Amino acid sequence: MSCRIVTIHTRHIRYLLIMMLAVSALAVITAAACASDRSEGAATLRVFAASSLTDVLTEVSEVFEAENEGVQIEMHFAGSSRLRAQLDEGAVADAFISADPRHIDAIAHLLVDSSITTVATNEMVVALSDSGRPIQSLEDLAKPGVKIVIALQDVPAGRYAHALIADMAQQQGFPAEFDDAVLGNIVSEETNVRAVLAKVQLGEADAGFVYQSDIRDTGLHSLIIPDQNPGDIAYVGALLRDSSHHDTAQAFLGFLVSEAGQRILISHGFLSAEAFSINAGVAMAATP
Amino acid sequence: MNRRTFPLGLPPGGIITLVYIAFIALPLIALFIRAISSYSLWDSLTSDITLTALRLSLITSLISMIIVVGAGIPIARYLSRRSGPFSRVIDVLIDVPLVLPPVVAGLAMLMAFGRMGILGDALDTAGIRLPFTTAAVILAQIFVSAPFFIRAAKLGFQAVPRELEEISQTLGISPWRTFWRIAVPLAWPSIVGGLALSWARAISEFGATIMFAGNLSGRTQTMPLAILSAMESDVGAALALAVILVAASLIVLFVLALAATRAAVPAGRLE
Amino acid sequence: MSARGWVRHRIGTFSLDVSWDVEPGSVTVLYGPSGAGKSLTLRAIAGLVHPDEGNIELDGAVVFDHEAGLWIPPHHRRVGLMPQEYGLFPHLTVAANIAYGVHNPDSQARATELTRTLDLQDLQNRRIWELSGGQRQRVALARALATQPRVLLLDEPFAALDSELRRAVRQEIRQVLTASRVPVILVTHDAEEALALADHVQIIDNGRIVAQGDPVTTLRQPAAPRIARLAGVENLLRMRVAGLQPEDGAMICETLDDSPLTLETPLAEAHEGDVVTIGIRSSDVILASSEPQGLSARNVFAGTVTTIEPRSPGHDVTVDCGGGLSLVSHVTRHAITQLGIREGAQMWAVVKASSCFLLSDE
Repeated sequence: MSCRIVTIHTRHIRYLLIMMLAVSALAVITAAACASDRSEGAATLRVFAASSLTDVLTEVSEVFEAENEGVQIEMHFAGSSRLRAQLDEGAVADAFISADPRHIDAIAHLLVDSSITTVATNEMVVALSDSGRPIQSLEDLAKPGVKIVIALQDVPAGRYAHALIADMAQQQGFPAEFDDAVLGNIVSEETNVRAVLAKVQLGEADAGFVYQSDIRDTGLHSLIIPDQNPGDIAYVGALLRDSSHHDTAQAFLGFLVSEAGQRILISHGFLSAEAFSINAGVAMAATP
Repeated sequence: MNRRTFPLGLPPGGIITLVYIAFIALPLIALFIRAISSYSLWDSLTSDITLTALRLSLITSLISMIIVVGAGIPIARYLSRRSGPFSRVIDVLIDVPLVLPPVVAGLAMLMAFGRMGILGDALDTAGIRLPFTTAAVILAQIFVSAPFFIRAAKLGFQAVPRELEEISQTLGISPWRTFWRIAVPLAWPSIVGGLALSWARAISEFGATIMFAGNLSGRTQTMPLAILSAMESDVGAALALAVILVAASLIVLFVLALAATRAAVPAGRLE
Repeated sequence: MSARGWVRHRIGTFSLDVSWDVEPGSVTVLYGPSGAGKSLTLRAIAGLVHPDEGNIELDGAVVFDHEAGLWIPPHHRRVGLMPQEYGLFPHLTVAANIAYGVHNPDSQARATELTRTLDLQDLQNRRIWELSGGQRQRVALARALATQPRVLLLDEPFAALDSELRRAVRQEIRQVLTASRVPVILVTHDAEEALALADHVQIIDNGRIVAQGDPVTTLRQPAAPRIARLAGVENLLRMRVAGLQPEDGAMICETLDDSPLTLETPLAEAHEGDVVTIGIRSSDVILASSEPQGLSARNVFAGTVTTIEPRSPGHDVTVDCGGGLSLVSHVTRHAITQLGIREGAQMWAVVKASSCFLLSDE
């Protein structure tokens, strides 16, 4: 009888030991995975950036990595508002570059105030699909049956587009109710500007409101929207307070506004940060 | 020493099951807690965007399921009675949407039914434009969800002994009525189970929809699309939408589970 | 009401070529080994198989005529088919099973009557899996007869029952069948069953009818070794005719290897010196543990038990009598214990001359 109890006891212990071993092994593996994620080499920067910056920042980060040995940059592209929401929910990053100063304002408490910098500006255009019914002018956007794709009003590209449509309706030469007609022609509100471009490229939509920088390499025709305030569309970067690589991150932002950085941005169809600095009003908005 | 004793009275499989349940349940519980503690939950629940998306989701998934079941039962029945290399190829083809990433499915549908697609001109001549319409939402849902139903129903029909249907015919019942009086009741649990899986897949469909149908409130913005769109502005609204989607799914799955347990024949009794 | 017809049908290398003619209220047994084409014949009559050629007539109505291009589908044939495992519908109660094909007041009345006759009243609300094998069989029979079929087709109706129950229900079923005045075609591979139920036996082998006639002649003393083997005649002895005794109606046969053993059989058309095949059913061979005295039986052989193999409802005991003569005897388990039958034991095998029958060679 006593022998039986002892046997069960040892079994018990062995069993628990195995379970504990398994659990701790799992924990170690997970921790190792996380660690390697963050601190391999001298510095791995994680940069959250608006999706319209995808091509240009990929190039910039390659140049920056080449110039700064040991630095690795991990780019994470998405709609600015989604990035902002993710940071708000505790996502870990070193720098955030938004396509809209509002999103910088919204999470100002997470950012290093002094680091907030405008890195580029942009303008909106109407991208036209190759297949689409002939759209010759902005007025044609109001024609019945035209399929227009736009970004969600909550993402910068959507907000700018909506504002521009409203502006145009006020201008002379545009038909009455121009804005209602255009809004009525919207067939889809995409969650980011790249998806808008894709729908136009696929030929499913006739026209889409995108950034000038977006259509640079696509070969798509576009309509220029006149009378945009230079600097209305500003890309603003900032450091995260919780970043463990402040210096490197600061250097990266610095590189973006340097002559070399600006040259790359301009070559991708962006406008320089200086084009914006003339317009001080919005700069104030970016630094509360 | 035939009986083994385990801590908590559970064998290793039991412990791992517990851990797994916690892994699944914890995020859902967290979702509900966050949503309930959000002061604007009620406003979000009753907002236009939410109700519009919920209505669209329910209507489109209902229509999808009617089509999936209507077409899926004859297909499943046909496949359950075939064997040989040809039908094995068909089996694999039917399962393809299961392994396809939904975004790819959406893109593929654009390539076929879009304006620039293979059938684009033909559809255009017929006055049919699918992309960015509610019909496109339904097509995307059918595309991704039908395999779940067809698979399950096929297995259900295969398990019905052919002899029973033959006997029914010798008793003077036509093949058509035999199908409804013998095959369908006996395959019922599989049919309902397949419907539940299929519906769950349709209501949660996202990737193919946003590709093929776009995202426009009231026309193509279903619940999952509304959740992602809300994430761009207001996490609270996204949470409310998510809670509604989870609750609606649980209700439907529960009702279907009830329907399945009211099976004609208990498991294992169908020899 | 009668059922008659013929069919030819080919599936791969197997070809079926059978005919039948069954009187109302009589039972024709299709007897043969598995794979002989018995069930296929039933399926052809029921319309579940479309034969290559043939003509099937039920109660005067033609349901299949190859030449006329006539083929009535199963649900318009009014046949009652009862398969081996009964094919009861598991999602329905007993009552719903019986009433499944009922569609007019007449057959409704018939269903009620059958429920009573087959003693199923108390089981009406049961589900099929709650029934015993015998009860299932009765439900299946009631269901088949309730639709007032023009022919009743029973495929191995007792195979799913254990042997005790089989004997018990056989008589009951026989009565129901006779009372129903329906022509019955019953398929079995059990000779005992065929003898107990058949008015007429057709032996099928490899798709052909090799013998037919009344059950006793056809099965008890089959006319050819091949049929005998089919019909379960366990002892088939090759012997030479040594002498004819017309005055006694007897014939003496000796073994082929010239041992002194001889076997006395009824006189048959044979000549001295002919090599013949003699059949003896194992149930006709008696075993004794000591040398029997004062017997009327003509053939008594001493021998050694070589094998004992169970075969329901008893055992087959093989006794080697020397001289190339081995006899198989079917005895009960009880007899085995009482006589102390075991391998190697000394035994005497006793065979009445009249139990031996000469088989014509094919």
